[in-house]
Amino acid sequence: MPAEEATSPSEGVQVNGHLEKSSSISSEEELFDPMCDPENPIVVKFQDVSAAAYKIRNGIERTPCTKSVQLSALTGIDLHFKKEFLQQTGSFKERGARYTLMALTKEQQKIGVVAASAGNHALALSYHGNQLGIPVTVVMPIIAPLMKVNLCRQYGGNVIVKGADIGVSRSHALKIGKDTGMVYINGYDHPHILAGQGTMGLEIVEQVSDIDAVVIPIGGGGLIAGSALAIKSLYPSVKVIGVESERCAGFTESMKAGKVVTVGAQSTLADGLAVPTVGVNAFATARNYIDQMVTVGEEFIALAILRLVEMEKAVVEGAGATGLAAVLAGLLPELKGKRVVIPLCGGNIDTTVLGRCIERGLAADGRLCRFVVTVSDRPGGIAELCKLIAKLGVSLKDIFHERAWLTSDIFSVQVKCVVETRDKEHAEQLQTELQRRYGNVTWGPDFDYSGPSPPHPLLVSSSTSCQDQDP
Amino acid sequence: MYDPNADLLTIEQISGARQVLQTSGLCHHTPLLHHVQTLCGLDTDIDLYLKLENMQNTGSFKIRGVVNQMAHIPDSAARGQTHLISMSAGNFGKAFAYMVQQKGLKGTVFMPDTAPVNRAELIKSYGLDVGRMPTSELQPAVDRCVRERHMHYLHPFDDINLMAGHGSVGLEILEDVPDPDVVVVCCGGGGLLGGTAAAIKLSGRSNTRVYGVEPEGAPSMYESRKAGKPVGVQVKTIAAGLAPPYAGPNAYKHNMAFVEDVVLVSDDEIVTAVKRLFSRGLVVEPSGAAAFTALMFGKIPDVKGKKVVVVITGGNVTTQELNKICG
Repeated sequence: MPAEEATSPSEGVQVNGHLEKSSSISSEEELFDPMCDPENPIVVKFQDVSAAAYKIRNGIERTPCTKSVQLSALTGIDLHFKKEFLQQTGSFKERGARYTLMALTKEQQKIGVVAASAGNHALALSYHGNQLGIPVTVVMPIIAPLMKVNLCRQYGGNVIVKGADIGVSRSHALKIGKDTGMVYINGYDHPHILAGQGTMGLEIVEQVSDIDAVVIPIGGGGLIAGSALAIKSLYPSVKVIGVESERCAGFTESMKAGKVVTVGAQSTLADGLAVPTVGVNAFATARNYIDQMVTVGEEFIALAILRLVEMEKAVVEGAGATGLAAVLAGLLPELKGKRVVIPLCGGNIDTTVLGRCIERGLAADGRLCRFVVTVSDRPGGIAELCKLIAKLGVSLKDIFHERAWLTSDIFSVQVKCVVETRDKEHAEQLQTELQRRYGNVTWGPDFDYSGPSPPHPLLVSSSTSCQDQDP
Repeated sequence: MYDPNADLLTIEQISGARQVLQTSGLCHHTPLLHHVQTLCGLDTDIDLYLKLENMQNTGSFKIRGVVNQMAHIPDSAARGQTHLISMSAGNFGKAFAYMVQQKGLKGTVFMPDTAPVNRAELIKSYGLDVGRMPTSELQPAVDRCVRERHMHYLHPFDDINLMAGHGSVGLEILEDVPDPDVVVVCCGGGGLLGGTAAAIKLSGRSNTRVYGVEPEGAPSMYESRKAGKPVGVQVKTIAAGLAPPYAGPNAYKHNMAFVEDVVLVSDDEIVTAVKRLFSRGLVVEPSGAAAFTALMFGKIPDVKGKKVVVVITGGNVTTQELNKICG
């Protein structure tokens, strides 16, 4: 698409040389992936899934699908988890990746495949490409963490870091495919990928009997397409529920519109689900098998991660925890007393992000609290506050006080605290006590930041949303 | 490296920046229109001067700051060994892209995915890489590229060298009208306002009052002045160039030291001003018209019988956009 005012930069000043050509792909043709054509969506068939199951049976983990005693008790649901985070590279993506690689012709296998991904698809392809002796090239954007780049290379993938965002990387990958003959593999919409992902659905119904419902996270839609197809073909009475992050609800909007539409994607803990345009094949295949769609908020995703660590001893990434998040958010009350299977799709969570999720989860749980009170600046003022906190059995994690910007009274100081409480009730008890003693208490995450260095207000609270920043 | 706690600008820094700009040949001494109060439909007892930065190279004042900012990058970056990176969907991005291309360097710009596609295409047309992503991911993405890919980050509005470059506007104003009573400047991140005010005050004009103008929907500096420290705000305004989500700490410091006050104008008022200026032969983008808007709607105090300089900061608006805005 030509730029509106992409005039040459000369503007009256003599420029050395000519205007450099845009680095992006200009031709419409080169951006086309024939296997994911919006004009000709492919509906995957059950026999594709069973063929995939047969072919990949020796190469992927038949992961456990077991009942969670603690979380069943907590939720009142007969809850089973399909533990896909236990796959070698940490996610279910291996199923589709391995099957797609095995389904290539001998000639295609010699030349190899190319993809654009900074995530689980890249890892899965790299690993199985190496296992099967098929060259795998992955294009990753410059914003992909170095750790992911190195991990893919470790698994044997040929990683090219190119593109300021995943869209540009994708264009590059498609171009490489066109120039070299490598097959471009869309990680959530290639029909063989869908068939491969569907093998998880087959395993679920083999491992658990009398299932009432499955709750499956949706990013590009590949997993739910294959799995819903498999499950409904064998047991049409099983209810299939799709879950998305409310920060990127592409499938929900597409279902409403009756066709694939693009949505904005905001930052989300479930970064594996941040796909603005769902797959056309995935949509065509899945839409008739999905009984219900829900979207879930960030705090419940954090809570789900926390619960899975504490109660299931499972390290699950945001995207993988969305199914449980929907249950914890109370979005699926009708599942009480029913037998439900939820896949824990992946465990590739950044350790620092995990730390933050645990904190956010604790905050959502009422076990980590922030507040600001104004106390006397005289000797004993802070001590009294600390005594109040300690008397309630609350643990003080962080305390920060400042004087300069308080306008009320020069003998007062504003104190900001982060504390640990047992649970929500305990937190409420603390809040009440503080209110009684200090009158004005600012409680919660959304007060003014006043640290020593400028904040990234964009990141201060998940509820802050900023539009139109254009310095 | 970007330092959020830089010292206040000195007149030497600003004149030094002016020298750099003049040597580069990339910035003009833009026109200052004299006695245009009647032309602009204002009260005849205001002696109005318009500083036309919409006529600047790249269509806004931003190039001034960028030229000086680029003169202070580390050697490895100047030699092209280190990749340059910044974030902006607006005029800074355009000026930055222009400079990167001028210098034959490599650069990347991250922009919010809410920005119109033509902005991305424009910057790409200068040969830079553009990445689009949710707003909240911009800073982490930049940080990661600096940390892991050793890129050099140019802060789009709060860098002290950027502000010194912008300050050249103040010096030029004083050359063309040595004794202004009031100077009114649009305020986004506050870099232009801070640099210009510093230039004017440090040139000995202690009696000149400098005002900043922000949209009501993006009052970051206004709120910062109230709070006594730089703060962030939720932003929503038609004047996209004046809507960073927080006031820059360096800009805030300069604001408190050199600026009389910051006043607010509504989006509707801005649109009226844009139309008025357009009908008088000036193409001004909404962000660029904020200062004029404040004067037009009587928000600047004590201007009767005074020499008032208003800075028109940019004209990067397409005919389509003008049509849409003005109806």
